Amino acid sequence: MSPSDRSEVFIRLEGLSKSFEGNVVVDDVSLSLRSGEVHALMGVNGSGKSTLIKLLTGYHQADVEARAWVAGSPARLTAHGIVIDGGDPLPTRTLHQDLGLIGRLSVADNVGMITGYPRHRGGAVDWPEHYRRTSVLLRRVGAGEIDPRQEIDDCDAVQRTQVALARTLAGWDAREGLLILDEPTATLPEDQVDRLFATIRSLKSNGVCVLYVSHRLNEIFEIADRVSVLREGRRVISRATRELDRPSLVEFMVGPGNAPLLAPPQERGVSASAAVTVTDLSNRTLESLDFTVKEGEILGFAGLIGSGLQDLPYLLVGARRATSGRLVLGDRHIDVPAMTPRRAKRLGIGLLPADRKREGIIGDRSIVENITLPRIREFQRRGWLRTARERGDASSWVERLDVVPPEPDKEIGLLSGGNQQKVVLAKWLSVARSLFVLAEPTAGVDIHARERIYRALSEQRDRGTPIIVCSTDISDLVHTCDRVIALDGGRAVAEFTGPEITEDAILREILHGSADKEGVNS
Amino acid sequence: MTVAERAQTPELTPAERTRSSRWSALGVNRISIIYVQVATMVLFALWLPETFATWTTATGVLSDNAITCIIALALIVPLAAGVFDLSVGYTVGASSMFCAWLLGNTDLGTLGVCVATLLFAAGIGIVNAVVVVILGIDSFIATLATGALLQATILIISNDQILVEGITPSFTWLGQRNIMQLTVPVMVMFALALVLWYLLGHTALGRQIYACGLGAEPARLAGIAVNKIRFNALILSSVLCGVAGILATATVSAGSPTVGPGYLIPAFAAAFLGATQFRARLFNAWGTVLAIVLLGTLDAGLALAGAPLWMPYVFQGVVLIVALAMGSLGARLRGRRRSLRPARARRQSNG
Repeated sequence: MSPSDRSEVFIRLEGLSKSFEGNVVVDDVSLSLRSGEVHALMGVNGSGKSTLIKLLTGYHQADVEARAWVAGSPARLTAHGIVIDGGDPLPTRTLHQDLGLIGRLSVADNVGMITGYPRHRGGAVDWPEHYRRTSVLLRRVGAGEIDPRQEIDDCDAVQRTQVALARTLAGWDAREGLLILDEPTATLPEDQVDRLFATIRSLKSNGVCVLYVSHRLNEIFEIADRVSVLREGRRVISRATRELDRPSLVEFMVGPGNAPLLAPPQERGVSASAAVTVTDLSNRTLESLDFTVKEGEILGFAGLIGSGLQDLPYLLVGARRATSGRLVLGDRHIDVPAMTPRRAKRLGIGLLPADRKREGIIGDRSIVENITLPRIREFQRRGWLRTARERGDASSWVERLDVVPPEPDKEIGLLSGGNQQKVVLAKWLSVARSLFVLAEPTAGVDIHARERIYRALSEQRDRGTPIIVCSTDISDLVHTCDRVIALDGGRAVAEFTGPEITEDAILREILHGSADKEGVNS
Repeated sequence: MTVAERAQTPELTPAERTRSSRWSALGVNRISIIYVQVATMVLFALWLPETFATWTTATGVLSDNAITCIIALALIVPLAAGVFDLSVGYTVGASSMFCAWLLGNTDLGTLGVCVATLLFAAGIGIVNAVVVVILGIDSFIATLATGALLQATILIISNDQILVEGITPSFTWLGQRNIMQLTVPVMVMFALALVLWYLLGHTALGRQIYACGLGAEPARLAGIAVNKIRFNALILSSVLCGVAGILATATVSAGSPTVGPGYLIPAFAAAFLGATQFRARLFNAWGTVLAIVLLGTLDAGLALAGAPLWMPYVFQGVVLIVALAMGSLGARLRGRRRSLRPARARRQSNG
């Protein structure tokens, strides 16, 4: 018998709901957590996992007061987390995905940021004592071998997670408390996950209740006692892990082929000739990838983090260095490792980058200046920049893509994310004559802008431009693409065309693909 | 556009929009220095009607500060492109010294000496550019380091002596010849401001230079050669400092090992003060000239009034803090007004 079957329900929550501006994100969710168990919380992007966690930690307030019990006594969800009626808050600690460590400081200093430092009577830090305390904390998470004087930058990924966990648990002596781990393995190499799991198991044996968020299926079967699955804000199931297998868990996460939010692309004839051919494209994440895009076709790429999906669009415009690859564009043969963004622009290849804030916009400048940046030389006549022409050009884009507010002179930083994205789209649409590559085209974008972006892509396709969409958000692919290639480990593992392109089919392929590979390795 | 979005953006008629932009062009935010300058001039004119309100004072302010202004203008190009050049003062000093040494030790003639000095300054710029752009060292530290090397160069050339040999009127007219009391350095300053106004404000290249400073990554993805622009910007600032060095030698008819480093702080102050004017938050030529003129006017007025030696520094410091605070407070207030609006809308939709 596993420990979870013996133990009592420790935390019980009922009727958790949260909506943002009318969108229900968490919908009447109930959850029972037992002490001494690892409880996995699963769901695809946007299923409401992170909002649910923020409700538990008090970062968000539930729409209506939820019902809660801790060890049988009634409790409430407050801004300080779960508080037992007439008592103290339930000791809750959260390890966030990005860890929040400072790389150039020592392990001891990163711990000291949270715990403070022991001091001599004069006020100077008692370093030997602080190192000793840091070591004690590290031993508690099974990381006694880490030198507190070591810099975080010199720690490997597991050690970093262990340091973050150690300081998260500092001063936390609760036998009965809640530890929330939000995708703790997201940045860990596969072969190091076991070390972290040993730490989690030892905490569990102390009676701590661990809520474990992840979307790596293999891990769940290894570490979790029970699993709750969220889909579209609702809890679909809560079950003991051993009652589930991989296909059924995927089924619960994905759901039985639900109707798409937006109309699927219409069936159209795609011309037979390849407009763009890429062969032998490689870098450290991609392994000799070959593909073609036809004139008037939108080709999608799907994949998890680490599949090569994140590098692919940047390699094509030379923004990151490829180690090999040939690109045939009409009658031109181009060596991809020699590509630069400047050359790509001249060839009429545009890239909509993934990180809008860092790569897409210049937040201080106007919509006009952002749209015309790559083509600014075109607006210079006889040595002078013709700002009226420039403004006219940008205005027509603002109008065409329904940018709100329709004021071309407005600073782009003042627009909503969706409207900023429309401006970035305009900037690159105006360049991309021969190939348009998009990375995460709808990241952080509301539903209206999303719909407008999809429409702009299909309009551009109808003009005959070959388009490549790389997205971890599979609904982007379902709503725009004529053909989708699934990537895993830097290789194409499956291809879908027309009606085969469904969220289900693609998700199954990329989740299973990586599960199979992990299975082979272990 | 959804109904909610439309409700948040009050529609302006074109006429209203023009009116509001015309008002903002005269707004205190955009040209505060002009108002402060006028107020300063009126005050000193009332206080010292005999001595202050004269053509001599006006041209004196310009010629006393022309070299500082040329250095400040040299700075705005790398600053706009997102790199610091903290070696400007030493570059001026080294160029001035090199120029004086050439005059005393060669027969190159005025033109030859000028050309050689500018090549020498360009060489300094290339060293800066290699260290910053090619070795990838942070420009703030890198140009401090090259500055130290330049200080050594100054001492090697001068042997810590003032060089006066060979500095004859055939050369010093560059610093001292004047038309209606406007000296050559003043004319060079205005010409340079005009060129930079055109380059940064009215050409595609100018737009690309600003893009490098405001968003290096979007600029790179837009096919702009960020490294090349920064490389050339550092060379340009050194060459302009070479010009300032020649004019400095010509003005005082000597090469002095102490000339140069003292220009660093006032030039930076003027460049940053200038960036609060005309083109909000962008380094620009006329804003920089105005800033120099204001600081120079304060200096001259106080000197004429017989104020104690420490007084001009107090005024300089206060003016800088007030002007920069007005810029950042203005931005923060505008930001607050912006952030209030959507917050209110959100609360309404929730309630």
